[in-house]
Amino acid sequence: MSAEPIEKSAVEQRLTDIWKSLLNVEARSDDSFFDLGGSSLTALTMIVDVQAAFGVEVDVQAFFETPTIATLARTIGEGR
Amino acid sequence: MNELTAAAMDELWLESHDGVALRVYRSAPDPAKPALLVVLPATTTVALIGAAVDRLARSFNVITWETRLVHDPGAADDEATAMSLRANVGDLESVFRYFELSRAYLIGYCTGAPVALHAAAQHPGWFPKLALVAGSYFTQPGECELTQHERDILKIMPHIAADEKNAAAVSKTFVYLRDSGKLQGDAFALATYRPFYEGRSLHRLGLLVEDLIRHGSRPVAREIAVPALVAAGRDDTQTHYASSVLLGSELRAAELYLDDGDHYAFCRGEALLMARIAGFFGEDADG
Repeated sequence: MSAEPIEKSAVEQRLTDIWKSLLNVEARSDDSFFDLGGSSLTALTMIVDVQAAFGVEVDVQAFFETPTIATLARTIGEGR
Repeated sequence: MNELTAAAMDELWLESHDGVALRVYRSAPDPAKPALLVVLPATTTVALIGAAVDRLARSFNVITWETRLVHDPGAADDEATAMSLRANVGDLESVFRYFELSRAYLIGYCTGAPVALHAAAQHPGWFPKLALVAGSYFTQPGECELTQHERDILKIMPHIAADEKNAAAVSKTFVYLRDSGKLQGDAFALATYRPFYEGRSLHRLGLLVEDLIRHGSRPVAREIAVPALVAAGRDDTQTHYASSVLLGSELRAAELYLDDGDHYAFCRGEALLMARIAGFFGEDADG
């Protein structure tokens, strides 16, 4: 595990909280959702939570290709 | 054996209590064998338990059916009523009456377990013994340890049940995952995703699971006086064995069978589990 390179943005912190509510772990921005114990169904649950929290459509394909908080935060930023 | 096997069963259709068509299967009838009803998980077709049926049919006349309206696109006037726990218990009653049974042994597997529990509570004279295998009892966080899968189901199913559009959106993602080879799991696990690929099926599944969550399983378990076998596996990543232990503690006459199996030990017809179930019903698993 690498150290957290930079401080999380507000969006990343909110995403970290959502991941923690589902996976019970404090994720780093570049941790893979699936390495932290998430399954396909957990990812679906997380996407529903993220869409409700931010009011944007999550790019599912981009997330599953790079399943990190950093990727999610970027797509959320682009969708707003 | 990690692949699905076709069960040697006859298929027939019957009209249930409210007019919904049920796809029913039964093994070759033998008047010398007792009847055994198996309540399938709502997510799967009979193919999932082919190996178990082949083994159990050596000692029992096995009868099972697929959960209404999830695997076949029939019509329903009021989907919430049609997909209720009550309607699913009604299907079990319809099957029991169709075959003119006076008594039958009863197995509930996964989400079939709460349906079997409610049926056993309502008809104590019909079912002299009840076996619950890897049951999905929808216990809540705080009641006992849950798997990640159980926590996910508790969270996403009410969302899927709330609106068919929600189900369609989730379904679209599952289709993407299937088509891109990103879905995880062996043949049994992947088979349970079948209703997730179609919005209407998934919405109906969500309505049923939401109703199962609403009712819970512990209160009805306290009403059951007949002997029950509660079987669970320590390696089950779908339903945590702790919920089976908890459920068993609510039953008045329960035997707990705990092994190192996973959620699909029943589907694979694993010999020790099959022998335990058949022995509990007073029969020899090898006929």
